[in-house]
Amino acid sequence: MKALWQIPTILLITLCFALGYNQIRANTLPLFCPWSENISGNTFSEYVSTVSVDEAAALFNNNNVIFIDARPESIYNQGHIQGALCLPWHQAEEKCFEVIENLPPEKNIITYCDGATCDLCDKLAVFLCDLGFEKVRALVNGWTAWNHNNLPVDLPDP
Amino acid sequence: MKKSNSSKIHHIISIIVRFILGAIFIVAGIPKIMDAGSFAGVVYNYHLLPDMLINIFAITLPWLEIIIGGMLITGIWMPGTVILYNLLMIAFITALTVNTARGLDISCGCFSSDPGDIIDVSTIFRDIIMLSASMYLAFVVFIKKITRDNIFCKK
Repeated sequence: MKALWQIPTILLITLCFALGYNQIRANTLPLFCPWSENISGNTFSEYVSTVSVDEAAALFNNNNVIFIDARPESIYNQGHIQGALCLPWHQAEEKCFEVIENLPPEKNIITYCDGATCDLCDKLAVFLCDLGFEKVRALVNGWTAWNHNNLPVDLPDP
Repeated sequence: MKKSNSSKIHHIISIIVRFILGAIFIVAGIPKIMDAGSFAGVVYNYHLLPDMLINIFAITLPWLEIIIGGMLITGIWMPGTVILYNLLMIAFITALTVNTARGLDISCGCFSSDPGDIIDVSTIFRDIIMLSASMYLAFVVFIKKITRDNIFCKK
């Protein structure tokens, strides 16, 4: 059973390479990091403020906000915040004018994607700010947070 | 005579499979080593590991992929390498299936740390094909006992 000594040896070699390279690389990653404590919007750009799901829901109920979904169109089609526009970050430059041409610059805009560290909404918010929109914010972990609060969504027909 | 032909065919197919699977792991590992911080974010989004293990996992996994990929191509330590490859594929498929079932549309982190690389059923299907291929390698190594195909060993 050669595998019995080969597997731990391979793992040991891997650990040596991984830790060694991590030490010499320019942006060394700390080996242990309490991720959940760090995820509170501080991974996001300093130029874009984030919005809580409660505040986003209040703006939604007052019909005072436009949601823009930064996820890929195929994911958007599987379900999105009710009335949200689709502007995937990766196609933002080519699709932005057809999506946002009728939006007044002073309109409240909330961008969102999914996952606590998903930064597509942040990047899209920066992009929209650069286009001249004044009230753009990002909803961290938007799709999951919206669903957890049982807020209105658009789903595809069964 | 028939047995010898069969072994030869298995030998040739296993070399091709080894090269393909090895190359896939190497191609998958390099971008994640280059951007370990983003890859750690992808690992966090899977919500499968305790917080304290996320960084060490994100630092180590890409290297494991590259080393296993390299060993598969060169044919070094095939029994251990093939077992690890199969275990990794089973772990990947489990993680993808759990998060697809949860309905999380998170980034796969399979070939890069790109957040647009979202997981779906086709991702799981692709990994199942890779697992089938690596199980074939296990069959060749452990049942057919064709292990002396190390490119550094002359028969």
